[in-house]
Amino acid sequence: MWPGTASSTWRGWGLLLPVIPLCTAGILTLQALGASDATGLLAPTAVKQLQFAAAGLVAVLALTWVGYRRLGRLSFLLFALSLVLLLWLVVDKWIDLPLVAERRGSRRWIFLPGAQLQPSELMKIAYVLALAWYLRYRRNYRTFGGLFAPFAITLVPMGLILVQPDLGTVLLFLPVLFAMLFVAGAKLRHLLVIALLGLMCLPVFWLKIRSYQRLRITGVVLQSPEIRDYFANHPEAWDKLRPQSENPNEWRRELADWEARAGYQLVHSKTAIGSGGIGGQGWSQGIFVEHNLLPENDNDFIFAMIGHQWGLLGCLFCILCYALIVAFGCDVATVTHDPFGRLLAVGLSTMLAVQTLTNLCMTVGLGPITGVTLPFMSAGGSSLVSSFVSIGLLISVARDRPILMKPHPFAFDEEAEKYGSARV
Amino acid sequence: MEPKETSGRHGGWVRDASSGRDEVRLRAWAGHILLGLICVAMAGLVGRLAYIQVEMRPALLAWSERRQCSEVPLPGRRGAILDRRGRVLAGSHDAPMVYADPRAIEDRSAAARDLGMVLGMPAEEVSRLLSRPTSPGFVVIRRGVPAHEAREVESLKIPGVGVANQPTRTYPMGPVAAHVIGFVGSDGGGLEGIERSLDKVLRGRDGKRVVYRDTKRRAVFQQPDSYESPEDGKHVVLTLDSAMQEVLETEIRGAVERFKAESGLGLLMCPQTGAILALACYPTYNPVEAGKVAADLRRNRVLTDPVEPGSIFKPFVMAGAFEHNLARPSETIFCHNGLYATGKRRLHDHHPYGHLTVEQILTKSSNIGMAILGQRLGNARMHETLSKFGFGRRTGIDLPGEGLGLFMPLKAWNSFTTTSVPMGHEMALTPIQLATGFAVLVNGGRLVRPYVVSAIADLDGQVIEDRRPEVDPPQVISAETAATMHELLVKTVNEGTGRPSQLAKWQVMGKTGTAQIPRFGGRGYEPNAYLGSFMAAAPASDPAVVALVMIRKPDRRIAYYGGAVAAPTVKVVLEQVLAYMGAPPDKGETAQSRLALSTPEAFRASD
Repeated sequence: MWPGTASSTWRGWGLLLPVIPLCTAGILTLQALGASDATGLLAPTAVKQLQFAAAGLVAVLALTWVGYRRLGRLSFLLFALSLVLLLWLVVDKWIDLPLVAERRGSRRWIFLPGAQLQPSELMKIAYVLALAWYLRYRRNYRTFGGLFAPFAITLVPMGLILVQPDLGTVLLFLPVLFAMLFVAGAKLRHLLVIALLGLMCLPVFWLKIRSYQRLRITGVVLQSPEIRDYFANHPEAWDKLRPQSENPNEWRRELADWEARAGYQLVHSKTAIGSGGIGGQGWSQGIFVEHNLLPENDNDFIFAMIGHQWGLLGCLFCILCYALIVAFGCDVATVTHDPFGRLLAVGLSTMLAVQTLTNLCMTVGLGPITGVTLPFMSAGGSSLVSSFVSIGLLISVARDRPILMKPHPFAFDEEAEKYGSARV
Repeated sequence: MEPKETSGRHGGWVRDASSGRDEVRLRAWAGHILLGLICVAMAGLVGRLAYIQVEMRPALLAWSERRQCSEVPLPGRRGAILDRRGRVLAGSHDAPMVYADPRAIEDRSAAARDLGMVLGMPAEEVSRLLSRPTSPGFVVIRRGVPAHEAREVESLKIPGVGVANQPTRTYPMGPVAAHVIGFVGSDGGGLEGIERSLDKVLRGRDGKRVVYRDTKRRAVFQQPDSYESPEDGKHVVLTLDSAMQEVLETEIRGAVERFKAESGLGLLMCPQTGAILALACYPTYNPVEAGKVAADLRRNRVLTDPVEPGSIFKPFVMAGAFEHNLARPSETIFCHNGLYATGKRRLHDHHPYGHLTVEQILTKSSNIGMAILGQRLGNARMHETLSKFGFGRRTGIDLPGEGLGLFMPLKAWNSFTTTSVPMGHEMALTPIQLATGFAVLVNGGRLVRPYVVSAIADLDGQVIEDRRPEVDPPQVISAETAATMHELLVKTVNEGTGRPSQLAKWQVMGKTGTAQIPRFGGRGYEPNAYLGSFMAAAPASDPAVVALVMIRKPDRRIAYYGGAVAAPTVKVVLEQVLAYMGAPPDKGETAQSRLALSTPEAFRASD
């Protein structure tokens, strides 16, 4: 594939090709949305995003210079640091700690002077690094019991993030875990059993979640007026979905007033995309851009603004860019023989892919609304920098690929386990 | 890329027996599988996007238009109602209104407690309002909140509670002239009185703008070209004088209280033009509390409620006799010593009289004398003359709700009527009809149209429409008859039943009346229920004001004759009003010297 065919000097850098337009589209959108707040030429949000994109590019350079292997040795340390930061947020729930504040019902940021840090974003990177580092030569996950440690590594940060609460981010970890375990050599049988067990827990999960979370999940079907009509005509069916704690009248009102309440975000997101049509309204044109009609339009729902401004064609272009990034990641994973690099590439690609898909699906109403940012586009320093760090690590893996003839990169390598990784 | 090929060299790739070759192959393709899965998902996404952006687009656009645009009315400020000297009787100002969206309030009981504290309402009342909103997201907690309380509510910062300025109607003089002014409903539309009849003039035109609303239903931007500027309502200038109005209201109230009467009403009118100077009904109400009082109280009884006039009606029939040359003031008529049998009917006088001149018939108010005059006139001529005074028709006053009264057509009249009508029975007339008819007797025989709206003024106070009746009032009885009646009415006050209304400086003319009150919805009369009335004009030399006072159901043990209950009231009213108007005295020692002084034009009420 294309990153591999490039000359060795430029190897891997091709990954920036799809990243740059995505970033640019994001910054242009932020500029369009924030133009009214602008004191000078640029909107403050756009300036901030530009700064973070620059910081992200610097991070990419630094990572390729340092190399992912050296970073690998620090991965447990990084993971521990991330855990401490997450714990800091969690503890604030009971003991008031400095630098933490509740925003819209959750504690997600550490407020440093001049900047905000989102530890869960750091954790996403640290987690992939740590898991890849842990799985790199082990073979005990070939047994069912050996899967305990990888799951522990996953569930601890998941739990901490769930307490924030940030359900969307939490759900990114599981696909990454499964993909990495599979690639590392865990038995498909075991993984399927675990997945099945997890699925069996879903009813418990459904019982536990809160009213607004149920509404987000049901929103995927409720967006169809026919289904809303059905529930309106069969209120007893709708009442069955009601959480115990919810007031029955309030629950019915949620259905009757769906478009103005739980469905507000989705309906407006779809309207923004739909009104873009095929060619779009044009940059910084259209009422959804000119006015704050869609909440979170610079953040989780920025893709709706892309659809509004640049229409179906713009959306196709963006999706193509994301597909290229993931394809690059998979290609790197396929041709890299270093187990750590391979696992890292798979983990990071999966993380990016799942995050992108979750966000896009929620924007167009194919999935429940969760607070997951769109990589490279959504406003937010931590998210942008962490996406760039993923890219930097992928480039680093791509550049550092040893030229080796090894036919089955994903076969479980007991030789490697015996003799170590240095086979150059 | 068969695993078999390499197994020799890198033996042990697939040592685990449980992990078959297929799984190895699968794993080898892991990257491609991942990519494939993601490509499938992304293809799905693209399909969904195409569906939304092409297929659903028209429906979504229509929905968005419906949902996000909303029309915001821009209320035009309601015009003021002013009295003849520009004093504000009804005005408009923006008053803060506290409203709430109960859905957005987290802790209703705390919110109710805090709001109740600030607004001085019981917390239970506030929570009752919050639990029963008028629409799911809106309930008015209180209108017309004082500014400092509104600020306090704002500083509470309760989410879901807001303060908005709302145009509010105020009546600076309280209940003064309430029955003329009327009142507005909670939506600001006029429901009664001038507020209702001139609602279109006062209301002006509401403007509007179409706005798009954002997530919190805040207006974010205005649709281009959707702005229609509001137009403020115009001011209405009345013929009423609030000073005279207050005098009349105070005195009517005093009389009602003094004689323990059920109610009272009064009217001051310029006999030359028909301009109503004051109009009072007691008991009355405050227009800002109109919603809380009984509808009965709010009715303008001067216009709506016909009464059987009794003796105050006599001058009209007598004028008919003069008009047809069937009697002379000095002519003597035998009054049958208080008992007159005619046909099946037996008529009584309060005091038995023998021979009375026609003049005395009026001043002493003899029923029998009047009956004889009625018989001389006959039904046809009597009906014709009375019709000329406007009885049987509405006066056409520019206030809503004027009644027609009950004045039978000629064909319904019989021999009974011939003797009943001259003493003011067998009919019911509204006070305004009586006053208008009386004006004919004192102004030289012309039938004026009573009116209360003299002009419509724009916001700068410039008169943009003169509402005074243009036409010269028609001469309905001859000037001679009017002059004769003028003389007789003066005598009634000087020598007859109207003596209690005599003034020191001004010559008053008038006629008393004491009528029994017909049983409501039945035959006969209510026992011991009287309507004491007095109809007057002054100064007699150049009548500037007609005054009518009616006291309904005074306590019989105190007094009930019109001369006793109504005439003294008219006296004190006229005394104050004539002085206020600066009417030149035409009687007594001061008359000569005062007449020499010219009266400033502004203080004359005769527009």
